[in-house]
Amino acid sequence: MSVGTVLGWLLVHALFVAAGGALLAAVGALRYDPRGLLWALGPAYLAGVALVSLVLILLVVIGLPYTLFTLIVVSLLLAGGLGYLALRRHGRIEAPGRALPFRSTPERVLVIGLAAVLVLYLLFAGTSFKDLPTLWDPAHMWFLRASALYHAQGLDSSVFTNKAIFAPFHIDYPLLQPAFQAAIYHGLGKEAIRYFHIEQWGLFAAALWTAAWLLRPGRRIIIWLPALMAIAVAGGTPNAPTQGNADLTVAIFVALGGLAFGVWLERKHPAHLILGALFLAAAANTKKEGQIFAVAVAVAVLLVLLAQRAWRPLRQFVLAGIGAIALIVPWLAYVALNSLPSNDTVPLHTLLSNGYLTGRLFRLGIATDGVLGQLQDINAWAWATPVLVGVALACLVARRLRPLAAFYLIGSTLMVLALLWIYWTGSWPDVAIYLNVTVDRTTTSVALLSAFAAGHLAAAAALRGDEPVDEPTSAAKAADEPTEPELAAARS
Amino acid sequence: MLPSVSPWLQFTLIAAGVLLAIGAVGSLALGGLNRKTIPAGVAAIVPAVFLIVMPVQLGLSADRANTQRHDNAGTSETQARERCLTDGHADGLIPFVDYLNKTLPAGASYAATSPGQTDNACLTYVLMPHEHVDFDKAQYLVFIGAVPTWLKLRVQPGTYHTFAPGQAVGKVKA
Repeated sequence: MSVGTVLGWLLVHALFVAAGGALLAAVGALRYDPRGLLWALGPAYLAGVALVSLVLILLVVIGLPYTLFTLIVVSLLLAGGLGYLALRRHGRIEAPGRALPFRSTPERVLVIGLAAVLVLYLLFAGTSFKDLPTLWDPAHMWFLRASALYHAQGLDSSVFTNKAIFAPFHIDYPLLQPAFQAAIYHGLGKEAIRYFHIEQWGLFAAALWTAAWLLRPGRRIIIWLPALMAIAVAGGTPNAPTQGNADLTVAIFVALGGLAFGVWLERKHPAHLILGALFLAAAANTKKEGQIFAVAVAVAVLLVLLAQRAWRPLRQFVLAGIGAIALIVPWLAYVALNSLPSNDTVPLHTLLSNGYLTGRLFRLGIATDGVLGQLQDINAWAWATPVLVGVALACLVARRLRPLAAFYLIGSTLMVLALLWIYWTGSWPDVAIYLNVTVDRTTTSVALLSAFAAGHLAAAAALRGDEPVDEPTSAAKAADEPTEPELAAARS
Repeated sequence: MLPSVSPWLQFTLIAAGVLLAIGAVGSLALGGLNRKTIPAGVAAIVPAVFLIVMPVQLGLSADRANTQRHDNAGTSETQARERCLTDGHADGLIPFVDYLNKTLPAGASYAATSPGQTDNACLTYVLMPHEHVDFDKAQYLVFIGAVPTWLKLRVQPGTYHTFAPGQAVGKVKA
């Protein structure tokens, strides 16, 4: 490995951290002390990957070249612009606080021990992926598209344009993972197809870090850390980077988007709203399932806000949603304008044709067994989803944290229903084979969100034992109260 | 894991078990089921369940990762890229692909008569950064399997090279 390669690697990662860190600062989520800044490195990196990649997708769609220079300019412009906003807003928004102190020495020892085991495991597994080959799906989609994007410096490659040759290979799939992979290649100055598996693992580690960063303020670490750890070491996830697919990447963004919205519903801090919207936009740009999952999570937020009659947060959510949609539209527009065919979804007129759905009802039963079988398999996803269901039901029965419990329950249920719809209506003729080759991957998003959600509910429940029944928090009340200009307008 | 039981039932039983455990902690340890003890039960049961489940998962996953390390040790970048040929039972193409990667000029475009034993996407991936295009735009023709006469006529004389039976390459006439 040459010095240039190392410097290039550092440069690319620093650019992501700079753009993401500036975003965190702009939305008031940074604490300006050494520990606060260090603690924000993981989320800053992940937010930067999402933000920079989304902007790069927009640029390649409109035909600008994707080079190292573009990457540098985009990242620096984002960092500069958001940094300027941060300077203007500095002090106006209270940054999330610190974790609650440990109650005993054994608790401290347990938390430090668990965190150390998690870090060691992530390092060990990461180094185990250094010589991985490119497996079937990445060679036909994800890595192929990343290499094409890197060499053609944009979409001007037959891989993206030649429907005659490439239509069978999901030419319409979203572009975030290939765009991120191409960014890594630009930094290294060459393709590094074996190494990229480690980058994917790094994204997963950053996702766990970000989840911890979202969950930590004002809560006891010992309550939520086991959920994160269990899903981190669960059997399904370690397989994902070895496959090189985008399922883990989409799961990271769906789960973090869901968690950020969950924290926002609880605390109404604008940073969580914006991060939720950004992560869901990234999910929708990573896989087609990500688009459906993003809608599922957004519908769950919407329903909870409507049930709460929280009109001001609802307005803020709609605005954030519009921003997210603006980041999702470019690739969808490119697909539509270039008439890129989809060979795994069925056209609406076929879906609605006589007997199509009813004639395939048998697939629904097989799909239900397959999806639930995966989610309840302790060796795949550490029971994360059934645990979430039990915990959410307990919160609903106890009339504690009902909005949060309802949000996670509705969101994860809609995601499962979306998966069942895909298997019910999908174009694969044999649903058993379809499930066999995909269900271990497609359930990743549900499982990861479930683990984060269970940790969140538990940590929130630990805090709220002495509070009145489902009274809105002071932050929620404040967010729903009219501002002084609104009152003035109403008076006039 | 109970393989003979329906996944529906297993899923429901696990969720119900968690719910019952929360109730048990609330009623037995905290003195009754109410709006204070149930959240306390939630806060106790969630970390407990995951702490119990985790060690076995950790062992299995570490073992899987180690297996990956051993199984793939020493795989070169080229071998990693050509894995789709192996997976597609097209190992016989690997020497030809290596030859093409060495002899085609950087950035050359090519068209393949047929993906032959493999498929177009895999062929494109293993021949990157050369660009896989349509016949009318190609600088080189890659013949895999049959060699159609009409296409062979488009090859510049003296550039046609047979690498192995059913594997040939030639430069397109200017």
